Amino acid sequence: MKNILIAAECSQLWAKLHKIRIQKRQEEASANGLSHRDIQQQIVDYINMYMDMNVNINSDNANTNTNTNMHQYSEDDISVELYHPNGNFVPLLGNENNHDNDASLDDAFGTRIRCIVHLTTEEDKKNNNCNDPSIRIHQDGDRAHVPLLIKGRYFEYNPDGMDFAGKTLIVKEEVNNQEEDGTGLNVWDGSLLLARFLEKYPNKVSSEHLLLHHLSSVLYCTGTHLVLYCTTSGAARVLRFKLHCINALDNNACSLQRLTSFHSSVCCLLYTYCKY
Amino acid sequence: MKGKTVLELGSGPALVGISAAILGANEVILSDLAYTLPLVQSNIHLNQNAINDGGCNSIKCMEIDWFKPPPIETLSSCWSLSSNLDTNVDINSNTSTLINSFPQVMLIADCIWLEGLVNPLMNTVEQLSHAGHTEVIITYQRRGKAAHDVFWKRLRDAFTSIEELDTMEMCGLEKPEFMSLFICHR
Repeated sequence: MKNILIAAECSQLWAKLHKIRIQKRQEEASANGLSHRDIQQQIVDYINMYMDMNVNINSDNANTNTNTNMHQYSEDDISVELYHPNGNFVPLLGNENNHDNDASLDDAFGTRIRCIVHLTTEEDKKNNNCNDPSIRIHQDGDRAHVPLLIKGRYFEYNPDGMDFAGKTLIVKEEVNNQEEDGTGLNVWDGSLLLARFLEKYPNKVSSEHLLLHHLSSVLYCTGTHLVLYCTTSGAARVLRFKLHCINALDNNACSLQRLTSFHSSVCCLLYTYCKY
Repeated sequence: MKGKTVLELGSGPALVGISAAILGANEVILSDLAYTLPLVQSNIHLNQNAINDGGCNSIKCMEIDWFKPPPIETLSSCWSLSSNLDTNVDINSNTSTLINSFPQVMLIADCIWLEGLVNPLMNTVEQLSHAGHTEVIITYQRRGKAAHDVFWKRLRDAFTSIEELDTMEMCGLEKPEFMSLFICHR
């Protein structure tokens, strides 16, 4: 087997992909190369090393002994799902018969493999849950009662108010709610992503915004009017639109710096025909 | 010009729906289980000035249980008359009134994490959206194989068009690899 590079998602530990290089270890060298279990073990080692580093960094920053336990994960604490090029997830362990040697793993997945790593936490163990979140569900009928185990937040969130489209958006959450299903009172990252997306593309919910189709356009604001100079076809044309909410335009993301430089209160979005 | 009618499913504290109202949606309905609605009302109240400034004519919350999705007539009674008059559909059609009962935009943020909830959610989406009228915008985090597989199957079955957006390339909005934003049409 060649060395392989694992791009690992682990939403319980980190926000961005981590690249883990899996190499044949000297003491494990054999004619058959790495086994699936060897790969699993190296991922476990990487995660334990990551945990150690974070504990040390936190301790250094705080300059005190933190209460963070030096938790070490074992193979049984971690399940890995490999992303197959055909779009399916395949467990690394458990159905080796489907890819029962290292050569077939290479053939099927290549040497750059994306995967999702799921951790079993101490809380899961107490609750006798297994480490596959897809089946880590205690169900009462069709209702699930296990809180979502996502730690940390990727997007900025402030319950006291966030800048949003030139206004202050205040959305409170109740983080320690354990009644009901315990998830409906939290602000999740997907909400923040969608809100920020709508902020960039307010026309998705409002008709009072314009999309610029002329990338060579120049525009500026005068009072409550937006003036758009279109310089396509070699002839300048002036279009005038009366807008109800210039303020909303004020806060759209700027992608066309050349246009936005004409007036600080107007920003333009890059409009990609083939993708939008 | 008017903004659009927006329904958010699984709104939780309603960050997305309130954002839509601030950005100028004409009418917004926020929906979730009953236990969330007091928090939703409170958050609406906190943002009332910004919502008014955005030009939103109506923002309401209602209980929608994905296991018992309401008939579209229930939603119809929540929209105000002004929305129903603002229509792009064929007004000569007998179905125009019914079509305007459906939202023009359906927002679903981070609602897929349990396999057992995917089918009820997608049943609700199908019941409360209309082909050619409703655009469905979904953000999604992959959290497990079983839920992912069911979600993808239902997504492909429900929509004729599913577009995953590269928000970084489109508008400089960076997101983690494990998060997706889909725009779907039936």
